[in-house]
Amino acid sequence: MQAYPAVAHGVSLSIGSPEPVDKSFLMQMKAFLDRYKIAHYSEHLSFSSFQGRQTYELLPVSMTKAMLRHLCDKIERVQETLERALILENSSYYLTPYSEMREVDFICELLERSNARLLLDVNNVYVNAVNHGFDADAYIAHIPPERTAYIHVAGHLEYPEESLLLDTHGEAVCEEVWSLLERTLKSHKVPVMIERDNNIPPLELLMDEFHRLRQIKERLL
Amino acid sequence: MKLEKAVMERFVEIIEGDEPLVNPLLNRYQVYRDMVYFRFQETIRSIYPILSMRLAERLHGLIREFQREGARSPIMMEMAYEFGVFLRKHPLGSELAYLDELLWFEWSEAELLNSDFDDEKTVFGWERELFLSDSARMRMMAFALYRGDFESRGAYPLLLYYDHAEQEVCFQEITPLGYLLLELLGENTPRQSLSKIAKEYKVDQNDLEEPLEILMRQWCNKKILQKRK
Repeated sequence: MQAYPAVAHGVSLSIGSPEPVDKSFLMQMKAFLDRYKIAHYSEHLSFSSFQGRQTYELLPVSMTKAMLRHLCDKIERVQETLERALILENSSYYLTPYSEMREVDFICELLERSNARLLLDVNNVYVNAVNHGFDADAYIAHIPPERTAYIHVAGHLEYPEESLLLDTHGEAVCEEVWSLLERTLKSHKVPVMIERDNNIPPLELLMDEFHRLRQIKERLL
Repeated sequence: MKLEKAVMERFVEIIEGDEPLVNPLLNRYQVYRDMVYFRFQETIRSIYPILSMRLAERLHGLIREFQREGARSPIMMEMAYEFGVFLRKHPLGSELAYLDELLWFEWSEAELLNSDFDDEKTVFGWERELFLSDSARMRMMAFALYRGDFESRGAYPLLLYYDHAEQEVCFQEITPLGYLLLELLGENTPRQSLSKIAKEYKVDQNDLEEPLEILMRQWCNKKILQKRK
């Protein structure tokens, strides 16, 4: 931890839930980040708890103006407590709860109105684009590079009978996502991380993905 | 936020509940219902692998029941602890006599493996205040379930500790004398404990001194014992 800078990535902040931020959870998080001298903390643009009940899953928020105001207030509280800028990831979602805006507009407005930066998960953009029928490249073109902290790439599963891509973070990165990443990196020159949460393969296979990523980065130098 | 809140409430109600969904194969609420369930299941199975195997098909129903009651901790691993609390109150407890011990054993193992310890190695001394460190647990077990025996009742003194050198959790069946020593050390110096044990076992204190010192030195070296901070 002393030798390499680390980035913390969480799933339990539940920034979108209607309740105020959980102070005690945040204080624990701050103690952890301080202890290991972690400057960057990222979370998800979603909610995972409701009235204190936890689901431990990234559930979609309504993309509305009222939700934007609510998120901005909560982001401010989180940043005050953690004494760090918050980085939020675009989550994958399988249904859209009552919303007034497109996802990309919602995210851009959030970045504009808050101090948060974006963790751009290119796999999630791809999964959402396929599941909800939008253009992934057009989406990424809207995201301000200067407000993008870093990028995730990951794998997903395809269920053709259900016409569904399921973001699992437990598979190899697919060709379409590699290709979308390469196009993204032309405009968004930020660090990239391969994310694998489960179904961890042998190290050689992970290294293959790492080398693939390095080749893409080198091509763009 | 009133409308948004109502939408979220309904969303959680659907995915945590059991109401039948229209066309579940294509219903996206079913996707979320499954994802949330598997998130619970994955954590519970990783913390309680033996219990999960023993519960077999019953595990699914118990997790769903627990989900409806609601987990409160934002820390996923602590959800498994809450699941243990739920099971202890569940009628299942009266059916599985070993349930409480198995929950304790598996939770302790996971907790020790996932904790950060800053215990320093303690030097043994007869007059020092030594006690069981944060990286160790002990319990008088009624079932030797760590050996796979869930049937025969007895009294099995068990020591569970984090091995700092090997970076793994170890368990060790200790002697009743060793167990008594660890109990006494909480409130007595090693010298006082020695005297009490000698009285209890009706043996000469001098005969006990050397073997107990060897044992306590080993425990100090393994950071099973620590001095009062």
